[in-house]
Amino acid sequence: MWRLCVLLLLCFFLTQPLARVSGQELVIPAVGQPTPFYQAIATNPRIVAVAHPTELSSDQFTEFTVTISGLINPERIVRPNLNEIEEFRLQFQIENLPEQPTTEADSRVFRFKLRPLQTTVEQIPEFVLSYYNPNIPQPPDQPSLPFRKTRTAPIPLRIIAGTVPNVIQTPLDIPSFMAFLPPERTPVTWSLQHTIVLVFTSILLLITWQFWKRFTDPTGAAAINRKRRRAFYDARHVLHRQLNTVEELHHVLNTIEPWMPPDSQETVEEIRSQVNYLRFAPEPKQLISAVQMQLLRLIEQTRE
Amino acid sequence: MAWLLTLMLLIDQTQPMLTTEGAKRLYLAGLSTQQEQLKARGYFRQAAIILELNQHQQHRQQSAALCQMRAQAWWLAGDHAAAIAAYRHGLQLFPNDVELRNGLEFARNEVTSRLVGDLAAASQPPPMLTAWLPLPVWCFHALCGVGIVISAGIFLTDPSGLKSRLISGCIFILSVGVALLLWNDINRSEQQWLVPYVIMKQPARLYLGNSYEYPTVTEQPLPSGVEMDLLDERGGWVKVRLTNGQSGWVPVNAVIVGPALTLHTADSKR
Repeated sequence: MWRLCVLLLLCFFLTQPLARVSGQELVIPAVGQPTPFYQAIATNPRIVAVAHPTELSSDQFTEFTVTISGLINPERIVRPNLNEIEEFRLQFQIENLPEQPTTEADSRVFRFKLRPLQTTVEQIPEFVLSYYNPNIPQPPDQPSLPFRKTRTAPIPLRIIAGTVPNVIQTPLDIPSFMAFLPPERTPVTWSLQHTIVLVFTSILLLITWQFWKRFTDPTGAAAINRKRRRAFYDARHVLHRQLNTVEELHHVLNTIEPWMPPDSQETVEEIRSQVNYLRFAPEPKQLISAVQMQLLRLIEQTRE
Repeated sequence: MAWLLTLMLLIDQTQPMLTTEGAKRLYLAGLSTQQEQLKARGYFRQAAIILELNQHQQHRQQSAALCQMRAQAWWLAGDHAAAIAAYRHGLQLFPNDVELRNGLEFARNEVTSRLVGDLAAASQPPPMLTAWLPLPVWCFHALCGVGIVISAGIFLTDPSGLKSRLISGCIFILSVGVALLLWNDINRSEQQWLVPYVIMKQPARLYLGNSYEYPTVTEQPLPSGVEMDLLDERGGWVKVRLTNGQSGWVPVNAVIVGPALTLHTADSKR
């Protein structure tokens, strides 16, 4: 009898996974851990995912259940965070449900509520579980070798359009200046009216200027002075050249003679006779330059 | 009689709605359904979309009134960022339009009035430059020309006279100087709408770099409708600068990039 008991006890211990006795002592290597990693240790895990319902509207939730079995350390498994998985995060609104208790000692069951964010969602994507297999060695050049993966199959979904909830309609607040169509308005362009105004204004300015001239200078003395100054200016401009010809001197004399005061007429006649002499009896250039200087002096004296 | 009514109904339904007239009808429909906010917003959104399509197809034939209607339609549809972008685009075409300026100022005030604290200071829009005398540029060319002619005429009547020289010189300097100052003022008020800008389309934070891995510059997300200067664009992110001087990166799908020239350039690069 006692032999039978011993035999039974031996069978019991031998059928347990070897690592269960040492499972609590197993240390997962820190180097080579994949991301995400839920601290699962297993040699041959199994993972199954189911969803119910699979036909739902965009405002309904489906219950997504992930069952992981064959674990060596089921009590140390970290609950998966589906928000960290991009395929889940971009397509579903994710909420956690309480964990479902299980009778199997090597299993964990995780439950989630998923709501599709778009009507174009076609399936719940596969869930990938990374686990550490202690039976696989970890060489220094391949630290990720003992970390394996197992995955669920995608679950097809059929999304139907959601119903529009009855909402209380509130009036839209429209500012007063937006309560009508904006009136058409064209930018200012040049028109006949602008031309008429411009011409009329120009004529008016001209007439005003003429009246102003007559008012400020009724005798015209200022105009005469301006002409005289202009004649003297031109004469000086010619005479300041290095050497003039006799004809130029003659022309200058004709230009300035009408503007000379009476007391300078004698000097003017004297210069004229010298110029006439030079015109018909060529002389050395010193005489021409002397006449030129005389004319200049005469102009300067008259201006003073 | 029934067949006649059916025929009239069919004819009405086959009228092209994707025209400016169709957009105006939708805008008026939105105004008439003001008591039902959702329905009204739907009408305004449709009108705004039609006007956007027409604007891209006929960008040379836009009028200030159409630009204003497009912006107003976006605002009433609830898209504040698109409304501000539409106002800015209208001012790019018609810089001196008073209605567009007033509309943009209203929109900016509405966006910033709900903000408090540092977010309000950071979200202030850039100041709007206004020309002192908004006349066409040719007016100032004419003023210059007239001034030069008058000063030349006065000078030539008495070139040797000091008085005439002084007067002609003053008129010349005055006319050219005033024309240049006023032209520069108008030029500045027109150029402000051509500077690249960015408008927040949806709330988002600024980051120190062009990735979510970088730390954030702002604690709170910037609300939609906030305008910023565009500094750079790289890898699906744009670098922006707020009016308070802070700069950072924001995803390009969270913003509207303008002006339209910059947008087309960006589209062609993509």
